Amino acid sequence: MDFSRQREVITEANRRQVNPWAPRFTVSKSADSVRNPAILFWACRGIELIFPKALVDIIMKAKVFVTLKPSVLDPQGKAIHQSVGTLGFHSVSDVRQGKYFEINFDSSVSETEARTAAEKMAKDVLANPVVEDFRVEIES
Amino acid sequence: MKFGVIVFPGSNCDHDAYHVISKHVGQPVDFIWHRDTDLSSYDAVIVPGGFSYGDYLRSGALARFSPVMKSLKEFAASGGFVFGICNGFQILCEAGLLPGALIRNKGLHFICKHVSLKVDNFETPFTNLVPKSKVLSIPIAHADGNYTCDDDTFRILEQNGQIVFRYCDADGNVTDEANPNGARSNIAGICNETRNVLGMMPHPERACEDLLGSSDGRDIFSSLAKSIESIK
Repeated sequence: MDFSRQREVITEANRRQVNPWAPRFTVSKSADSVRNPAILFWACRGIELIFPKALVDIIMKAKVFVTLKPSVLDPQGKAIHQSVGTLGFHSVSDVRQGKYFEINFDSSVSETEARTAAEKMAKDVLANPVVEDFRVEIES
Repeated sequence: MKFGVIVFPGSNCDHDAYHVISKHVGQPVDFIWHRDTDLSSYDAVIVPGGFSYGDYLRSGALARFSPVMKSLKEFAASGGFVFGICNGFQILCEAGLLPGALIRNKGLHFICKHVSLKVDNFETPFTNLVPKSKVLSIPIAHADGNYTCDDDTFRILEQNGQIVFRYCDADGNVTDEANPNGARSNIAGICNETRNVLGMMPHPERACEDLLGSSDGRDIFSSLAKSIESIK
């Protein structure tokens, strides 16, 4: 016997007892929409029709990699290199340490805008152009 | 004559600088909170040492965005004296008031000790009272004091006499052994082209009393006071 179904029927009966004018069928109430892919699909399409942007929105994420310029000495990288050598990784020829940032934008920002903004942030704040280079990747 | 000492969240040499100006230079001095923007009443502004903003991101990188920094740039552009010590030097470099950058010490350690300094240029407002043959003994206390810049900048610094202090041995010889942090050409302090902005890694404000091991720092502060007096 499907007990979950029975509980649902009882709840519906109770609800109608409290409010006789309540609509007989509700879409969101039933777990059917999760069980039945067709219902879920049409429910989503319905939401899409009412709020066209809701399912189309893509959130942009910028990944900024800041690295020391090749000409700049990296004592921390050197120390790490020595440590991984002690660990047994003797084939490592060099280690350079850098910084990594993830910047999330809200849904109003396009990919181009996200890239421009992240590059400006990297240039003005995240990296010091005297000693560091940076690279920006955009992920949606 | 009036001095100001900027206080950022994380500054910790502000009181030392204040003490030296009020006691040894004998001039009025104010603390300037980093959100204040009116510097019109000051003749010289000290950007003190410490760990502004916890040294997050890079030393001095976030202090650059404090409201006072915009005023400080205007203050420097109009000829006001700006003196950055240690973290203050890092902030001035990040803010573009001085060229180059200060990166992690070559040996990775935080170094806290007295070093010998050779004055490379006696014709600056910060060094004109230092006796010509004197090797200054002033302490350093930093992890990011390794001065670096590109070749073009270095050439300009040398040509213009903007290199003011170099690490040296007790006899005044600039050697690799005397370089505590790997700084390019043993650079310990530089000034801007117009000589009114100086940044240095050593702490002259910690070397103004014999009790503390050296009073050589007084030469620098007295020079600054005399320079202010002469233009007033």
